[in-house]
Amino acid sequence: MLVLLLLVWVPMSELDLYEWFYEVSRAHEDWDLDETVILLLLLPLPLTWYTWRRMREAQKQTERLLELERQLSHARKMDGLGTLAAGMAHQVNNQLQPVIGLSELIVVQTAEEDPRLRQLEMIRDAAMRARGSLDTVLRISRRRNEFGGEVDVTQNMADLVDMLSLSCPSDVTFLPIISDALPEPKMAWDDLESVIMNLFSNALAAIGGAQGSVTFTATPGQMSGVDGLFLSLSDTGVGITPDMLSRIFEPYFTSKPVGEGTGLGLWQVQELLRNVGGQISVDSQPGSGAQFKVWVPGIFRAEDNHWTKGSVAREAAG
Amino acid sequence: MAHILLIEDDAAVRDTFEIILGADGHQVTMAADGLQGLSLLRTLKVDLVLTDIIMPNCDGVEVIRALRKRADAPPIIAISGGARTSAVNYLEVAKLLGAQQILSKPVGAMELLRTISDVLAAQPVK
Repeated sequence: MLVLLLLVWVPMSELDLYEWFYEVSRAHEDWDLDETVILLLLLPLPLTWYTWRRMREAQKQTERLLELERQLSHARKMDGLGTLAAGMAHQVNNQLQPVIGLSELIVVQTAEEDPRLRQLEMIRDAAMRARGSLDTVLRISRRRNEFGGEVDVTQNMADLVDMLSLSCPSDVTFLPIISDALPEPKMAWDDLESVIMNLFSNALAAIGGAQGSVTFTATPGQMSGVDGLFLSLSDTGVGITPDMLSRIFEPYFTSKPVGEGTGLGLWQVQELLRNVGGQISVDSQPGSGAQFKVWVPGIFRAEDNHWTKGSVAREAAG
Repeated sequence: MAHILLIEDDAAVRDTFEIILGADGHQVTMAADGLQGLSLLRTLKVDLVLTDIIMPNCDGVEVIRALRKRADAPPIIAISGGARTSAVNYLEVAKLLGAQQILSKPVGAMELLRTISDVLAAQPVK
Protein backbone atom coordinates (compact mmCIF):
# COMPACT_ATOMS: atom_id res chain seq x y z
CA MET A 1 0.00 0.00 0.00
CA LEU A 2 2.85 2.36 0.91
CA VAL A 3 4.57 1.53 -2.36
CA LEU A 4 1.39 2.36 -4.21
CA LEU A 5 1.18 5.76 -2.51
CA LEU A 6 4.84 6.47 -3.30
CA LEU A 7 4.26 5.48 -6.91
CA VAL A 8 1.51 8.09 -7.15
CA TRP A 9 3.12 10.74 -5.04
CA VAL A 10 6.69 10.84 -6.55
CA PRO A 11 5.76 11.36 -10.22
CA MET A 12 3.05 13.82 -9.25
CA SER A 13 5.45 16.04 -7.32
CA GLU A 14 8.16 15.63 -9.96
CA LEU A 15 5.91 16.80 -12.76
CA ASP A 16 4.27 19.61 -10.73
CA LEU A 17 0.97 17.86 -11.15
CA TYR A 18 -0.30 19.17 -7.81
CA GLU A 19 -0.25 22.68 -9.15
CA TRP A 20 -2.16 21.57 -12.19
CA PHE A 21 -4.62 19.58 -10.16
CA TYR A 22 -5.25 22.54 -7.87
CA GLU A 23 -6.03 24.78 -10.79
CA VAL A 24 -8.29 22.24 -12.46
CA SER A 25 -10.21 21.61 -9.23
CA ARG A 26 -10.65 25.36 -8.60
CA ALA A 27 -11.79 25.94 -12.14
CA HIS A 28 -14.33 23.12 -12.02
CA GLU A 29 -15.71 23.21 -8.47
CA ASP A 30 -18.92 21.56 -9.63
CA TRP A 31 -16.97 18.36 -10.41
CA ASP A 32 -16.45 17.66 -6.66
CA LEU A 33 -12.84 16.59 -7.22
CA ASP A 34 -11.85 17.11 -3.54
CA GLU A 35 -14.30 14.47 -2.41
CA THR A 36 -12.99 12.07 -5.01
CA VAL A 37 -9.43 12.58 -3.78
CA ILE A 38 -10.43 11.99 -0.16
CA LEU A 39 -12.27 8.85 -1.18
CA LEU A 40 -9.20 7.59 -3.04
CA LEU A 41 -6.99 8.36 -0.05
CA LEU A 42 -9.34 6.40 2.24
CA LEU A 43 -9.36 3.36 -0.06
CA PRO A 44 -6.32 1.69 1.61
CA LEU A 45 -8.21 1.42 4.90
CA PRO A 46 -10.81 -1.20 3.91
CA LEU A 47 -8.14 -2.94 1.85
CA THR A 48 -5.92 -3.22 4.90
CA TRP A 49 -8.82 -4.47 6.98
CA TYR A 50 -9.73 -7.05 4.30
CA THR A 51 -6.13 -8.24 4.01
CA TRP A 52 -5.85 -8.59 7.75
CA ARG A 53 -9.06 -10.63 7.88
CA ARG A 54 -7.87 -12.97 5.14
CA MET A 55 -4.55 -13.40 6.87
CA ARG A 56 -6.24 -14.39 10.10
CA GLU A 57 -8.42 -16.90 8.27
CA ALA A 58 -5.36 -18.41 6.58
CA GLN A 59 -3.62 -18.61 9.93
CA LYS A 60 -6.58 -20.43 11.49
CA GLN A 61 -6.75 -22.79 8.52
CA THR A 62 -3.08 -23.62 8.94
CA GLU A 63 -3.57 -24.27 12.63
CA ARG A 64 -6.52 -26.52 11.88
CA LEU A 65 -4.50 -28.45 9.32
CA LEU A 66 -1.64 -28.84 11.76
CA GLU A 67 -4.07 -30.12 14.39
CA LEU A 68 -5.55 -32.62 11.91
CA GLU A 69 -2.09 -33.75 10.94
CA ARG A 70 -1.22 -34.22 14.59
CA GLN A 71 -4.40 -36.25 15.14
CA LEU A 72 -3.67 -38.35 12.08
CA SER A 73 -0.15 -39.13 13.16
CA HIS A 74 -1.50 -39.97 16.61
CA ALA A 75 -4.07 -42.32 15.07
CA ARG A 76 -1.33 -43.95 12.97
CA LYS A 77 0.80 -44.41 16.05
CA MET A 78 -2.15 -46.04 17.82
CA ASP A 79 -2.85 -48.33 14.85
CA GLY A 80 0.78 -49.31 14.78
CA LEU A 81 0.73 -50.09 18.45
CA GLY A 82 -2.46 -52.12 18.02
CA THR A 83 -0.78 -54.24 15.34
CA LEU A 84 2.28 -54.62 17.49
CA ALA A 85 0.19 -55.59 20.51
CA ALA A 86 -1.74 -58.20 18.52
CA GLY A 87 1.47 -59.73 17.20
CA MET A 88 2.97 -59.78 20.64
CA ALA A 89 -0.14 -61.27 22.21
CA HIS A 90 -0.03 -64.11 19.69
CA GLN A 91 3.59 -64.82 20.50
CA VAL A 92 3.12 -64.66 24.26
CA ASN A 93 0.04 -66.91 24.05
CA ASN A 94 2.25 -69.53 22.41
CA GLN A 95 4.89 -69.04 25.07
CA LEU A 96 2.30 -69.47 27.81
CA GLN A 97 1.04 -72.76 26.35
CA PRO A 98 3.67 -75.01 28.01
CA VAL A 99 3.24 -73.20 31.34
CA ILE A 100 -0.53 -73.54 31.41
CA GLY A 101 -0.78 -76.94 29.71
CA LEU A 102 1.91 -78.69 31.71
CA SER A 103 1.21 -77.12 35.10
CA GLU A 104 -2.40 -78.20 34.81
CA LEU A 105 -1.36 -81.71 33.76
CA ILE A 106 0.95 -82.02 36.78
CA VAL A 107 -1.75 -80.59 39.07
CA VAL A 108 -4.02 -83.47 38.03
CA GLN A 109 -1.22 -85.98 38.51
CA THR A 110 -0.21 -84.67 41.93
CA ALA A 111 -1.64 -86.16 45.09
CA GLU A 112 -3.98 -83.96 47.14
CA GLU A 113 -1.72 -84.01 50.21
CA ASP A 114 1.45 -83.06 48.29
CA PRO A 115 2.57 -79.59 49.51
CA ARG A 116 3.81 -78.76 46.01
CA LEU A 117 0.25 -78.88 44.69
CA ARG A 118 -0.49 -75.40 45.97
CA GLN A 119 2.66 -74.04 44.30
CA LEU A 120 1.71 -75.65 41.01
CA GLU A 121 -1.73 -74.14 41.21
CA MET A 122 -0.17 -70.75 41.80
CA ILE A 123 1.92 -71.12 38.64
CA ARG A 124 -1.11 -72.18 36.64
CA ASP A 125 -3.33 -69.39 37.99
CA ALA A 126 -0.71 -66.72 37.33
CA ALA A 127 -0.37 -67.91 33.74
CA MET A 128 -4.15 -67.89 33.38
CA ARG A 129 -4.24 -64.28 34.55
CA ALA A 130 -1.58 -63.39 31.99
CA ARG A 131 -3.77 -65.03 29.35
CA GLY A 132 -6.68 -62.84 30.50
CA SER A 133 -4.63 -59.67 30.05
CA LEU A 134 -3.59 -60.74 26.56
CA ASP A 135 -7.21 -61.49 25.65
CA THR A 136 -8.12 -57.89 26.37
CA VAL A 137 -5.30 -56.58 24.20
CA LEU A 138 -6.22 -58.96 21.38
CA ARG A 139 -9.88 -58.11 21.56
CA ILE A 140 -9.18 -54.41 21.28
CA SER A 141 -6.64 -54.69 18.50
CA ARG A 142 -9.00 -56.87 16.50
CA ARG A 143 -11.57 -54.08 16.68
CA ARG A 144 -14.44 -56.42 16.96
CA ASN A 145 -17.71 -54.83 17.74
CA GLU A 146 -19.80 -57.62 19.01
CA PHE A 147 -22.87 -55.47 19.43
CA GLY A 148 -25.92 -57.46 18.50
CA GLY A 149 -28.91 -58.97 20.16
CA GLU A 150 -31.05 -57.22 22.69
CA VAL A 151 -29.60 -56.24 26.00
CA ASP A 152 -31.58 -55.42 29.13
CA VAL A 153 -29.84 -52.14 29.81
CA THR A 154 -31.69 -51.37 33.03
CA GLN A 155 -30.88 -54.78 34.51
CA ASN A 156 -27.28 -54.78 33.29
CA MET A 157 -26.73 -51.29 34.62
CA ALA A 158 -28.21 -52.28 38.00
CA ASP A 159 -25.88 -55.31 38.15
CA LEU A 160 -22.92 -53.14 37.26
CA VAL A 161 -23.84 -50.60 39.94
CA ASP A 162 -24.09 -53.43 42.48
CA MET A 163 -20.67 -54.69 41.50
CA LEU A 164 -19.14 -51.21 41.75
CA SER A 165 -20.78 -50.64 45.15
CA LEU A 166 -19.33 -53.92 46.39
CA SER A 167 -15.82 -53.08 45.21
CA CYS A 168 -15.93 -49.62 46.78
CA PRO A 169 -13.81 -49.24 49.94
CA SER A 170 -15.72 -48.14 53.05
CA ASP A 171 -14.02 -44.71 53.10
CA VAL A 172 -15.38 -43.90 49.68
CA THR A 173 -19.01 -42.99 49.09
CA PHE A 174 -20.36 -44.32 45.80
CA LEU A 175 -23.16 -42.26 44.27
CA PRO A 176 -24.79 -43.83 41.23
CA ILE A 177 -27.39 -41.77 39.38
CA ILE A 178 -28.85 -43.95 36.67
CA SER A 179 -31.68 -42.90 34.41
CA ASP A 180 -34.25 -45.63 33.83
CA ALA A 181 -34.82 -44.63 30.20
CA LEU A 182 -31.43 -45.47 28.76
CA PRO A 183 -31.04 -46.49 25.15
CA GLU A 184 -29.30 -49.75 24.34
CA PRO A 185 -25.61 -49.02 23.74
CA LYS A 186 -24.30 -49.88 20.27
CA MET A 187 -21.39 -51.62 21.85
CA ALA A 188 -20.77 -55.05 23.33
CA TRP A 189 -21.93 -54.85 26.94
CA ASP A 190 -18.68 -56.40 28.17
CA ASP A 191 -16.77 -53.60 26.49
CA LEU A 192 -18.98 -50.91 27.96
CA GLU A 193 -18.57 -52.54 31.35
CA SER A 194 -14.82 -52.60 30.95
CA VAL A 195 -14.88 -48.87 30.06
CA ILE A 196 -16.80 -48.06 33.24
CA MET A 197 -14.74 -50.40 35.44
CA ASN A 198 -11.52 -48.87 34.15
CA LEU A 199 -12.69 -45.34 34.91
CA PHE A 200 -14.02 -46.47 38.27
CA SER A 201 -10.77 -48.09 39.33
CA ASN A 202 -8.87 -44.96 38.23
CA ALA A 203 -11.24 -42.87 40.34
CA LEU A 204 -10.55 -45.08 43.38
CA ALA A 205 -6.81 -44.86 42.72
CA ALA A 206 -7.06 -41.05 42.57
CA ILE A 207 -8.72 -41.00 45.98
CA GLY A 208 -5.99 -43.37 47.10
CA GLY A 209 -7.33 -44.70 50.39
CA ALA A 210 -8.43 -41.30 51.66
CA GLN A 211 -12.03 -40.30 52.31
CA GLY A 212 -13.92 -39.27 49.23
CA SER A 213 -16.70 -39.99 46.83
CA VAL A 214 -17.21 -41.31 43.33
CA THR A 215 -20.26 -40.27 41.36
CA PHE A 216 -21.41 -42.35 38.42
CA THR A 217 -24.17 -41.02 36.22
CA ALA A 218 -25.81 -42.54 33.17
CA THR A 219 -28.37 -40.53 31.22
CA PRO A 220 -29.78 -40.68 27.71
CA GLY A 221 -28.64 -37.92 25.39
CA GLN A 222 -28.07 -37.00 21.81
CA MET A 223 -24.79 -36.09 20.18
CA SER A 224 -25.13 -34.35 16.78
CA GLY A 225 -28.62 -35.78 16.40
CA VAL A 226 -27.66 -39.36 17.28
CA ASP A 227 -29.25 -41.10 20.27
CA GLY A 228 -26.87 -42.37 22.87
CA LEU A 229 -25.83 -42.59 26.50
CA PHE A 230 -23.94 -40.00 28.46
CA LEU A 231 -21.90 -41.57 31.21
CA SER A 232 -19.82 -39.69 33.69
CA LEU A 233 -17.51 -40.74 36.48
CA SER A 234 -16.27 -38.07 38.81
CA ASP A 235 -14.13 -38.42 41.87
CA THR A 236 -12.87 -36.23 44.69
CA GLY A 237 -9.32 -37.47 44.27
CA VAL A 238 -6.00 -35.78 43.67
CA GLY A 239 -6.89 -34.58 40.16
CA ILE A 240 -4.69 -34.48 37.09
CA THR A 241 -2.06 -31.85 36.29
CA PRO A 242 -2.46 -30.05 32.93
CA ASP A 243 0.68 -31.61 31.42
CA MET A 244 -0.52 -35.09 32.35
CA LEU A 245 -4.02 -34.35 31.10
CA SER A 246 -2.79 -34.25 27.50
CA ARG A 247 -1.09 -37.63 27.79
CA ILE A 248 -3.41 -39.83 29.85
CA PHE A 249 -4.92 -41.53 26.79
CA GLU A 250 -1.51 -42.50 25.40
CA PRO A 251 -0.59 -46.17 25.68
CA TYR A 252 2.00 -47.04 28.29
CA PHE A 253 1.55 -43.69 30.01
CA THR A 254 0.98 -44.19 33.71
CA SER A 255 1.25 -42.14 36.86
CA LYS A 256 1.27 -45.24 39.00
CA PRO A 257 4.51 -46.70 40.37
CA VAL A 258 6.34 -49.30 38.27
CA GLY A 259 4.55 -52.63 38.48
CA GLU A 260 1.20 -51.16 39.49
CA GLY A 261 -0.21 -49.66 36.33
CA THR A 262 0.27 -50.91 32.81
CA GLY A 263 -0.56 -47.53 31.32
CA LEU A 264 -2.99 -49.28 29.02
CA GLY A 265 -6.29 -48.73 30.83
CA LEU A 266 -7.36 -45.39 29.41
CA TRP A 267 -5.89 -46.22 26.04
CA GLN A 268 -8.05 -49.33 25.94
CA VAL A 269 -11.06 -47.31 27.03
CA GLN A 270 -10.48 -44.81 24.26
CA GLU A 271 -9.94 -47.52 21.64
CA LEU A 272 -13.10 -49.37 22.67
CA LEU A 273 -15.10 -46.17 22.39
CA ARG A 274 -13.51 -45.10 19.14
CA ASN A 275 -14.40 -48.41 17.52
CA VAL A 276 -18.10 -47.76 18.06
CA GLY A 277 -18.06 -44.04 17.33
CA GLY A 278 -18.18 -43.03 20.98
CA GLN A 279 -16.28 -40.26 22.70
CA ILE A 280 -14.47 -39.59 25.92
CA SER A 281 -13.33 -36.35 27.51
CA VAL A 282 -11.86 -35.39 30.82
CA ASP A 283 -12.07 -32.36 33.10
CA SER A 284 -9.71 -32.01 35.99
CA GLN A 285 -7.98 -29.57 38.27
CA PRO A 286 -5.09 -30.69 40.46
CA GLY A 287 -6.43 -31.08 43.99
CA SER A 288 -10.10 -31.03 43.12
CA GLY A 289 -10.81 -34.36 41.49
CA ALA A 290 -11.47 -35.41 37.93
CA GLN A 291 -14.54 -35.98 35.81
CA PHE A 292 -14.51 -38.36 32.85
CA LYS A 293 -17.39 -37.95 30.42
CA VAL A 294 -18.24 -40.66 27.95
CA TRP A 295 -20.75 -40.72 25.14
CA VAL A 296 -21.74 -44.01 23.51
CA PRO A 297 -24.14 -44.20 20.55
CA GLY A 298 -27.26 -46.19 21.33
CA ILE A 299 -30.68 -47.09 20.06
CA PHE A 300 -34.10 -47.05 21.62
CA ARG A 301 -36.04 -50.23 21.06
CA ALA A 302 -39.59 -49.67 19.84
CA GLU A 303 -41.32 -50.37 23.16
CA ASP A 304 -39.64 -47.70 25.23
CA ASN A 305 -40.50 -44.26 24.03
CA HIS A 306 -38.11 -42.00 25.85
CA TRP A 307 -39.91 -38.81 24.97
CA THR A 308 -42.96 -39.70 27.01
CA LYS A 309 -41.27 -41.74 29.68
CA GLY A 310 -39.84 -39.53 32.35
CA SER A 311 -36.33 -40.30 33.42
CA VAL A 312 -36.35 -41.05 37.08
CA ALA A 313 -32.99 -41.02 38.71
CA ARG A 314 -32.12 -43.91 40.93
CA GLU A 315 -29.88 -42.96 43.76
CA ALA A 316 -28.09 -45.14 46.21
CA ALA A 317 -25.14 -44.71 48.46
CA GLY A 318 -22.75 -47.48 49.29
CA MET B 1 -7.12 -94.49 22.43
CA ALA B 2 -6.85 -92.40 19.32
CA HIS B 3 -4.11 -91.69 16.80
CA ILE B 4 -3.74 -87.94 16.51
CA LEU B 5 -1.81 -85.89 13.97
CA LEU B 6 -0.47 -82.75 15.61
CA ILE B 7 0.49 -79.91 13.26
CA GLU B 8 2.26 -77.11 15.11
CA ASP B 9 5.24 -74.95 14.16
CA ASP B 10 6.29 -73.94 17.68
CA ALA B 11 8.48 -76.73 19.05
CA ALA B 12 7.75 -75.96 22.72
CA VAL B 13 4.00 -76.00 22.11
CA ARG B 14 4.34 -79.18 20.02
CA ASP B 15 6.21 -80.95 22.82
CA THR B 16 3.68 -79.70 25.38
CA PHE B 17 0.75 -81.08 23.42
CA GLU B 18 2.58 -84.37 22.84
CA ILE B 19 3.07 -84.78 26.59
CA ILE B 20 -0.55 -83.90 27.39
CA LEU B 21 -1.99 -86.16 24.68
CA GLY B 22 0.44 -88.93 25.62
CA ALA B 23 -0.65 -88.68 29.25
CA ASP B 24 -4.18 -89.53 28.16
CA GLY B 25 -2.90 -92.53 26.17
CA HIS B 26 -3.19 -91.07 22.67
CA GLN B 27 -0.72 -91.94 19.97
CA VAL B 28 0.72 -88.74 18.50
CA THR B 29 2.35 -88.08 15.14
CA MET B 30 3.86 -84.63 14.80
CA ALA B 31 4.33 -82.26 11.87
CA ALA B 32 6.03 -78.86 11.96
CA ASP B 33 3.86 -77.15 9.36
CA GLY B 34 0.88 -77.62 7.09
CA LEU B 35 2.86 -79.00 4.14
CA GLN B 36 4.46 -81.68 6.26
CA GLY B 37 1.13 -82.47 7.86
CA LEU B 38 -0.67 -82.87 4.54
CA SER B 39 2.07 -85.08 3.09
CA LEU B 40 1.94 -87.30 6.18
CA LEU B 41 -1.82 -87.57 5.77
CA ARG B 42 -1.43 -89.03 2.28
CA THR B 43 -0.20 -92.30 3.75
CA LEU B 44 -1.16 -92.05 7.39
CA LYS B 45 -4.59 -92.86 8.74
CA VAL B 46 -5.40 -90.83 11.86
CA ASP B 47 -8.50 -90.45 14.03
CA LEU B 48 -8.10 -86.72 14.56
CA VAL B 49 -6.07 -83.74 13.36
CA LEU B 50 -5.05 -81.06 15.83
CA THR B 51 -3.69 -78.11 13.88
CA ASP B 52 -2.30 -74.69 14.65
CA ILE B 53 -3.62 -71.92 12.43
CA ILE B 54 -0.81 -69.46 11.95
CA MET B 55 2.22 -71.29 10.57
CA PRO B 56 4.81 -70.77 7.84
CA ASN B 57 4.52 -72.91 4.66
CA CYS B 58 0.80 -73.64 4.38
CA ASP B 59 -1.12 -72.60 7.45
CA GLY B 60 -3.89 -74.34 9.31
CA VAL B 61 -6.64 -72.77 7.22
CA GLU B 62 -5.16 -74.39 4.10
CA VAL B 63 -4.80 -77.72 5.90
CA ILE B 64 -8.49 -77.65 6.82
CA ARG B 65 -9.47 -76.64 3.30
CA ALA B 66 -7.40 -79.46 1.77
CA LEU B 67 -8.72 -82.03 4.25
CA ARG B 68 -12.36 -81.08 3.77
CA LYS B 69 -12.10 -82.07 0.10
CA ARG B 70 -11.47 -85.67 1.09
CA ALA B 71 -14.42 -87.95 1.74
CA ASP B 72 -12.72 -89.81 4.61
CA ALA B 73 -11.35 -86.68 6.28
CA PRO B 74 -10.62 -87.08 9.98
CA PRO B 75 -12.22 -84.57 12.38
CA ILE B 76 -10.21 -81.39 12.92
CA ILE B 77 -9.56 -79.28 15.98
CA ALA B 78 -8.04 -75.90 15.14
CA ILE B 79 -6.01 -74.09 17.76
CA SER B 80 -4.55 -70.62 17.65
CA GLY B 81 -2.83 -68.08 19.81
CA GLY B 82 -4.48 -65.07 18.28
CA ALA B 83 -4.77 -63.07 15.14
CA ARG B 84 -2.10 -62.64 12.52
CA THR B 85 -2.15 -58.91 13.33
CA SER B 86 -5.27 -58.45 11.30
CA ALA B 87 -8.95 -57.92 11.77
CA VAL B 88 -9.74 -61.51 10.72
CA ASN B 89 -10.45 -63.97 13.48
CA TYR B 90 -8.75 -67.06 12.10
CA LEU B 91 -10.44 -69.40 14.51
CA GLU B 92 -13.85 -68.32 13.24
CA VAL B 93 -12.63 -68.89 9.70
CA ALA B 94 -11.42 -72.37 10.69
CA LYS B 95 -14.85 -73.17 12.12
CA LEU B 96 -16.59 -71.92 8.99
CA LEU B 97 -14.31 -74.07 6.85
CA GLY B 98 -15.27 -77.16 8.77
CA ALA B 99 -13.08 -77.58 11.84
CA GLN B 100 -15.17 -79.50 14.39
CA GLN B 101 -13.82 -77.49 17.30
CA ILE B 102 -11.66 -74.44 17.87
CA LEU B 103 -9.44 -73.68 20.85
CA SER B 104 -7.50 -70.59 21.84
CA LYS B 105 -3.93 -70.90 23.00
CA PRO B 106 -2.91 -71.17 25.75
CA VAL B 107 -5.30 -74.01 26.48
CA GLY B 108 -5.42 -75.98 29.73
CA ALA B 109 -4.51 -79.67 29.64
CA MET B 110 -7.96 -80.77 30.82
CA GLU B 111 -9.80 -78.54 28.35
CA LEU B 112 -7.70 -79.91 25.50
CA LEU B 113 -8.27 -83.55 26.47
CA ARG B 114 -11.98 -82.98 27.05
CA THR B 115 -12.39 -81.30 23.66
CA ILE B 116 -10.57 -84.17 21.95
CA SER B 117 -12.70 -86.83 23.59
CA ASP B 118 -15.88 -84.87 22.79
CA VAL B 119 -14.95 -84.59 19.13
CA LEU B 120 -14.00 -88.26 18.93
CA ALA B 121 -17.21 -89.29 20.67
CA ALA B 122 -19.27 -87.28 18.17
CA GLN B 123 -17.79 -89.20 15.23
CA PRO B 124 -19.91 -91.93 13.64
CA VAL B 125 -18.49 -95.39 14.28
CA LYS B 126 -16.76 -96.70 11.15
